[in-house]
Amino acid sequence: MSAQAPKIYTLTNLTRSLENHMDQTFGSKTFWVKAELSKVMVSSGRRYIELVDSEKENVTAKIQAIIWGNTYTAIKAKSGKVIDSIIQPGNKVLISVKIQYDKLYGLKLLIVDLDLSYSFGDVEQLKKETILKLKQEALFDNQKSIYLPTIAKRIGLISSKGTSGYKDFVTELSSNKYYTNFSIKEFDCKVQGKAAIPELIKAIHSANTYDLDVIVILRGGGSKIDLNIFNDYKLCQAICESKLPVMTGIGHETDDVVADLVARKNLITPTAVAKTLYLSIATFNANLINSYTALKVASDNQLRNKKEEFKRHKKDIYINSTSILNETSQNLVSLKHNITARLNSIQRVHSTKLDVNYEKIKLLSRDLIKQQQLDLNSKLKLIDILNPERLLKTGYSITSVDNTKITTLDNLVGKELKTETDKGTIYSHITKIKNNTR
Amino acid sequence: MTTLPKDMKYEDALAKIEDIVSELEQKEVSIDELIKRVDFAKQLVDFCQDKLTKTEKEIEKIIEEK
Repeated sequence: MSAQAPKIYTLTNLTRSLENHMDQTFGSKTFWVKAELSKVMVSSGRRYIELVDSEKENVTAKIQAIIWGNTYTAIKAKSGKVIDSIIQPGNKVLISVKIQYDKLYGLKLLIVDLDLSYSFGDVEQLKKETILKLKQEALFDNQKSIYLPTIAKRIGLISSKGTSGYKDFVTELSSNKYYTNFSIKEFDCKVQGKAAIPELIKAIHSANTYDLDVIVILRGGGSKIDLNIFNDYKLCQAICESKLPVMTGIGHETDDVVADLVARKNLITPTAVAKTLYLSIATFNANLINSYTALKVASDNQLRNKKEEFKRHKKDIYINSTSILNETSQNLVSLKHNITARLNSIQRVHSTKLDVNYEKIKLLSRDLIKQQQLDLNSKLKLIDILNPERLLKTGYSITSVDNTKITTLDNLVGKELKTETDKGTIYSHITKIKNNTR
Repeated sequence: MTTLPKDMKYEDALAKIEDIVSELEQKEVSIDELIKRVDFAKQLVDFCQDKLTKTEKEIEKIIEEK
């Protein structure tokens, strides 16, 4: 059996046939597809996109897609500017596509619509996961315990140089009327797209090696999808682990991003961050001036009061001391008088005592002499009275027997009795004795 | 004549005067001793008067100095 020669088609025939087959099979049918945008290229209003799908980081599907200019405009009209943020490499999307095969350009998916809620849901999911993980690792509140200086002059500025956010911040910081003497160490890096994440992390680590007061992370503004990088776990982890306080000024209109939640302080715009920094210093300065003024007023008042008090005390002391001196002087005079009086009294007492004693001595001496004289006189009188001659002269006589004083009448009869008189002596003979009856 | 000791104290002199008074009151003094006693008493009284006068003057002087 001879082999039949294979039928040979032209490529045009084949691709036209394929085109027809695809058109008949899929036609204008649309399909909702979940995919990740791996590449996006804009040209003449059209978006040329590479869609991928992956499992465990292995790409399991890849296909080119396109959004025509008019389609893109229609979607934008319906969903707003956010579409610009969603149609970016790295974002996951839920898109409505038509399958198209063109004999010249091959197989493509025509993107005709986009479900925003899917992309937003992805953002919220990432936020939840990041927050949960940071909380599980006890990192979420790390920044809250870091001291944010009231005077934060040395600023580590992490932003994309030249962007409106950067300009707003620097202009506000340098041209306000309150305080401008800031020292800014800039860490220029991307703040848009997934590539920004490692740059931001590196900038945070680098800023931590400088002697700074605060790190400021700025992003001018953007949609929820644009700002989704600030929900990234590794970036937020770097913020949490920063030894320096981190302030965020990520411009957004609705919900906070995780970077805001974990930062030491978050403001809604770069301008607000600048205002917070200089107003903090200005407020501190104003408080300082107010305190100084209050202190001065208080100290002046106190000084004046003390001076018046001192004057009063001085006057009181003068009056009191004069009074005390007068009183003491009077007391002394009185005391002196008392002493003198007492002295005179003692003197008088002693003099009197002496006088009395001496008078007594004189008196007693005289008495004694008088007494002696009286004694003598009486003795003299007695002697005189007792003188026998005086008795004889008055007619008395002295009788004796044997020249002896008669003391008894016994045995006297017969004896001679001698009687002496003033004129002479009589001798007589005792014949009879008669005793007295008494 | 009895002379007073140099270190005679006022109180001792006064006590001796009172002793003499007491002796005289008790009439314990003989006439022979009387002159000696009175003379001694006079010396003692003069001593005491002198002491009193001097003391008074000294105190007056001290008070006036102040």
